[in-house]
Amino acid sequence: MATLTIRRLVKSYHPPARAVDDVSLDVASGECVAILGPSGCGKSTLLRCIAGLEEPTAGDILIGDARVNDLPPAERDVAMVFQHYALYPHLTVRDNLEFPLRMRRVRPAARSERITSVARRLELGDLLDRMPGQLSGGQRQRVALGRALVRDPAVFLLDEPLSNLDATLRVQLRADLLALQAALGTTMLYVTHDQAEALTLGHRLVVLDGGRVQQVGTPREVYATPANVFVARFVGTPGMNLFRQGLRLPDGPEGAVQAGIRPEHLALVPPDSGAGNAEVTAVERLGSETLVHVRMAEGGEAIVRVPGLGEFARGDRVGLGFDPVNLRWFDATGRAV
Amino acid sequence: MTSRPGMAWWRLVGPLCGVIAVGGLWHATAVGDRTLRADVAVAAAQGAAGLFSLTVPADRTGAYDGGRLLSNAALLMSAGFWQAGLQVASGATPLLPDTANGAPPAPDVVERLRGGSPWEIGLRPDAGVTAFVPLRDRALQSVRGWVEVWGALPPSRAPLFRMVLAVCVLLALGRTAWLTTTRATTWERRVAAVIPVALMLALGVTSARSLGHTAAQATDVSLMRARRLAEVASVSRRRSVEELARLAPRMRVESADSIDLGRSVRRDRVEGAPEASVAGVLSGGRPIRISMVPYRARLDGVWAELAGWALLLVAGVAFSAWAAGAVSKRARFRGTLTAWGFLAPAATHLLVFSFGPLVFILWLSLHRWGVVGTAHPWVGAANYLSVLGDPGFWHSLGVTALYATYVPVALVLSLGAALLLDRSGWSVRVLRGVLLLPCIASVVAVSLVWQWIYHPEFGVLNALLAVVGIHGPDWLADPRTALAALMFIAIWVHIGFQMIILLAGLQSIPRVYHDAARVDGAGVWQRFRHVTLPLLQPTILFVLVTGTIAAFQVFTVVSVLTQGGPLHATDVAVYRIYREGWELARFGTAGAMSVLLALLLGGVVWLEFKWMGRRVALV
Repeated sequence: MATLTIRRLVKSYHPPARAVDDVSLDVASGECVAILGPSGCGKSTLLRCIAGLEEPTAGDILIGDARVNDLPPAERDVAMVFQHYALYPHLTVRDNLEFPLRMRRVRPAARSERITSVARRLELGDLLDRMPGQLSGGQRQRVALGRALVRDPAVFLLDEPLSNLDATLRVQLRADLLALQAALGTTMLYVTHDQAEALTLGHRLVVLDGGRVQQVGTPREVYATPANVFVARFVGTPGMNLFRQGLRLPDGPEGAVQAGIRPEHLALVPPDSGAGNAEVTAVERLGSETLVHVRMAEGGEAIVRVPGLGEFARGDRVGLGFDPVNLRWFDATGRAV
Repeated sequence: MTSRPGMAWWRLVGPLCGVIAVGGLWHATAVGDRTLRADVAVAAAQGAAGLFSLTVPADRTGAYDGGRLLSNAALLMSAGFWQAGLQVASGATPLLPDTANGAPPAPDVVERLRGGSPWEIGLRPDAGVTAFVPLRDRALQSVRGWVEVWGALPPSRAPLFRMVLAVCVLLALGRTAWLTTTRATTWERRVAAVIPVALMLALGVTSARSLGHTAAQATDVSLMRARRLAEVASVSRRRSVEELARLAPRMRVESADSIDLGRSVRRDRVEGAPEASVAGVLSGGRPIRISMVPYRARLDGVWAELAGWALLLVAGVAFSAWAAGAVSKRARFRGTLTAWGFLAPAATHLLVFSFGPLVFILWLSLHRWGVVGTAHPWVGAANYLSVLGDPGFWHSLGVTALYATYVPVALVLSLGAALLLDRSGWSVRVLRGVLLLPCIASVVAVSLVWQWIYHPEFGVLNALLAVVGIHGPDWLADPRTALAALMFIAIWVHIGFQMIILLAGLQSIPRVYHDAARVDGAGVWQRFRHVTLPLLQPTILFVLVTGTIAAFQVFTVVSVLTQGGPLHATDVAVYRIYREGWELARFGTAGAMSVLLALLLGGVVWLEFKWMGRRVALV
């Protein structure tokens, strides 16, 4: 395993617009970093630059101590799992797994040994002689993963590997990936737009928007203390509630113009007994919890997360309460104060 | 149990097809029978007219002696072998009392006979088919009257059995039609479908047998009558074979080497073609032999028509049975019907212009078909054996195979061009267009341009070679270079089209496979070898197959530039087939060559599919 360092990386297809804009990142050996962001934020481009499939406009990429900007993908010692699997359709599963080893002229005996080992780890033993077209989505994804694992690269790059799977399979494979990463201790860069994947898989999160890094931190840090309004709104389902008015707020730090609070940190109390009054506009019952949408009497809207199947109905008048400790403050530019 | 689910038009398709088929079959049989009777009557009338022209004296103007003509005609009618009605006219006046109450021929019939018509067919209300032929003078120059013959063939056995069968078919069809309106069991529906088909087949076979019997009888009667006429004509004086030939213009009369005592008609095959003949002995012991193509051979079209009508009924009943079964799956039935409705125009086109000619070629290859004559006798495998024994045909196949070797060369070149032009930019687009130009130009125009390029004295190719001190050959006239010159033109024409197809194939390969291969460590060659080529395989197969077919069917460029020469160096198969048919008028052999070429081409294409036809599904 190796470290991965990115210094001021820029990728521009149509200058001056930048798909990746001045991104710097350090990934420690054995660390799994999840890159999270909305569609078109440049996360896949960043990954392709690291893999060598795109040439950066500026900046440096270092794997270990070596600058790899000028090396072709084959010499960077990275493996990549693609969103659409990219299994060679004319080769069997065994041949797909063997392909990277053949290209690197690994001896047949060693190839066979590696394939057997990976197939055992990923439970692909019964599928080795099948063609990719004969596999289900989950099986194809496991083969794609196997093709990345089989040559034991320094860095793993995963580009939304679970996005083509249904929800159940995604949860199962997410757990498998977590276990695999823990067992192998590989350096891994995982691109996704799914927060659950990012929060569960990543030791650290990198939130990207418009090609720029918005925040880097552990999932707890990113969730609890977002660096700006974008992160506050983007991370978490639903995102953080933001208030400029509508609630009686304590005085914030100097320069703070709006406050944010997570939906689970808001409480519904009897009218006139909290920091403000509101009217219920919608109720989403999710089973273990309920999301209550409210419109505040003084203007503004918020979402409150309550445990269980709360007894609320549209039109109910409620009060909103919170612990000031959970408030986060942002200045006029949207940065956390 | 027999509740009626309601009538629908498709229930009537089967019975309607059946009624049309029975009517068609009956009509085809009647037409076949009438044609045979007309042929025999014409032969008899020609025989009588020929006899009169040989035996009746004429005056200096060439007009026959009316009294002698009348007496000769009366003698002929009373002869035991004649067995037919006869009328003869000198000028426009019938001479014999008309025993069949027939009216004299209409003026326009006489006029047509005078105008050169070899015969005219009419109908007598009481005697059926009647034939008129012109009575010419001794020199066979001007028309002096006419001869009419009817009843030249004994009436066929009463078609009572066939009528009963036809009625049975119609009744069975009625039952089938009724069953489609009820909720009949599968077993009942099957029986209702099988019975009319079986009865129709029986009717078809009986009709065919009846026609075959009439044809055999017609051949026998015609040959016997011709022999007796020849014997009668040569009683009073010795007649040459050429003179006797006017007694049977549609037969072959020849002197025989030895006397054949057999008096009956013999049936043989001569060079694969059927022949019926009879031997005779003229006065003075001269043996002759009279032969003809049996009338049966003229019934090929009728057999096909009978089979067609029977098939119509089978198709109709099958449709009806299927429709009755599918009535409970109405939506699916309607969907299928609609689909066929949409397919019908294309299917009809395919049937008429592809399948039809194919069947015709097969039929042609099994028959003798020349430009002269209407008889196309069945020759079985004779055409094929003749073609397979012809070294020229094998040579042309070899030339074609050699010519087709340009296909892989063109493929490699067009693949290279496609790989080079698989990028964006206006210059690349222009280059693609330029490469595509030859294949959208007329082949004849392209050939003429190359004729100039290859010209030994004024051609640009030799002019360029002269610049570097090489004296170029006469490319198209030298047997060593002619085929290569044509192959070069083919490569030049096809490369643009193949390049466009391969380019489309290249661009349909998802980029992600190349990305994956790059990350997996594959270099440029390895990506081409392990990713591009396998994923391009279906496109390459398409290009290879269409290219091979085009190569085996090459004609225009050969026809314009070399006409198969020099010294047969460019005598490709299709050009040889063309010459066999249209220059040597041997369409049967040309048909056999076409079938053999198609089989060979089918084999080559099958091998290509076998070799690289494994489907690749992009996942």
